[in-house]
Amino acid sequence: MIELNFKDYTVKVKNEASEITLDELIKVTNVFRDEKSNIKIWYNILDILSDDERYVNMSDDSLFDVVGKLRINSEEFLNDIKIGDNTYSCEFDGDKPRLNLFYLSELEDFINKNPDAWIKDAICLLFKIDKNTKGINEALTADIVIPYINYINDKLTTNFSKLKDLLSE
Amino acid sequence: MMMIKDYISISQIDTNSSIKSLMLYVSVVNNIPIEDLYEIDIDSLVERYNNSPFDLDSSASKKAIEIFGNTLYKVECNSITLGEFIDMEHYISEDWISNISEIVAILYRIAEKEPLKKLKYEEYSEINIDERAKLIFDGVNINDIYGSIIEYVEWRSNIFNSYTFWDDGLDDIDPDELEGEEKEIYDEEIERMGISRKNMWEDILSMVSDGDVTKYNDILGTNIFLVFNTVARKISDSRKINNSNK
Repeated sequence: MIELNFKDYTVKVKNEASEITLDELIKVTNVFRDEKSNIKIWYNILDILSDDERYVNMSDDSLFDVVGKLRINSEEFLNDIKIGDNTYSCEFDGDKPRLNLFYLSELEDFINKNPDAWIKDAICLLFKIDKNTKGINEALTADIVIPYINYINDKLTTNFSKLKDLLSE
Repeated sequence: MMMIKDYISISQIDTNSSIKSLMLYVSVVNNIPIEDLYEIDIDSLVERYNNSPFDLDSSASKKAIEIFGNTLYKVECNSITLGEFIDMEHYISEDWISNISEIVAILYRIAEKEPLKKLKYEEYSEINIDERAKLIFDGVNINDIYGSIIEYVEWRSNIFNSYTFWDDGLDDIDPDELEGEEKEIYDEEIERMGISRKNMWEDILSMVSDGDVTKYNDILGTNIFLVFNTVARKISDSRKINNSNK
């Protein structure tokens, strides 16, 4: 957590992936997807990750300082996720999550049908979690989810254009 | 061999979901469970797709088809009655691919076949279209009937082109070229035609029966040409009377 100290108040900004909830991560990824302007991207992301909207009073230099301290990335795949008393597991092929054609086709469907919140659908599919499970948003922090999302995106984009070309012939 | 249900499923493939679409296509065309494709890689899926061509063959159409031990014979388009034509319009005008089974249930019927005699078809009014369509959906090869549907659709177009009372006179007008009052008149006419089309069959029945609803069933069972010729004649007579009164 970063603290932005202003004269009369302090704004806290989540900067570690492990602090960012699933809902916040979904909003952050949508900002990256939808916004084109760099300044707007970072202001929108601070809007999601800060606890006080007065972050807008920060200077340009402070903004770049905060952006430089954001650690919204993670590379380690966790095999198991604990939510409440239950542990949920993802299937693996070697050291990577199992993404056979069944999973890829379902994930592609999620992205097409629910582009703003497919990440939650995807993690629930891979770990066989009910989407309405209590505490799911807090348990699935960005450090857990991001490696899977990057891997899914990588897998799908690798094959996507080839398949689209084929179907449009 | 591709059953009607399989053809409908690949016709309705959602091209936004390309992996699922390919899997469904390969599964249906090769008659293998979709689960068997889960473990192959994308390249193999594409290769199987490329090696699974499917083309509809309208020339392979059959005069008779079998469903669960029953032989259904194709009816001649020219023998269609008004009631059958109306039902066909219902199924053809709204997403005809989804309604192929119902269309086949009307086009193919049980018939008695005696030597040196014409086929004697079952009573149309006694057919349970929905129930029969379910059997056809599962048990009939699309290529056995596709040509018959195309033949019917072409015959239907000829019918509409042959009788001038279908002509609303608006086909030659390009609405994009109209402005102001002309456009308003055109839009009003289109709206009026829409309402008129909704009541079209009832109007025809009323016209042919001279408003006698007790004759409706008989008219629905009357050959389509006889009914349309009567409509054409009545409209022509009516115009002559109107012109002579001017």
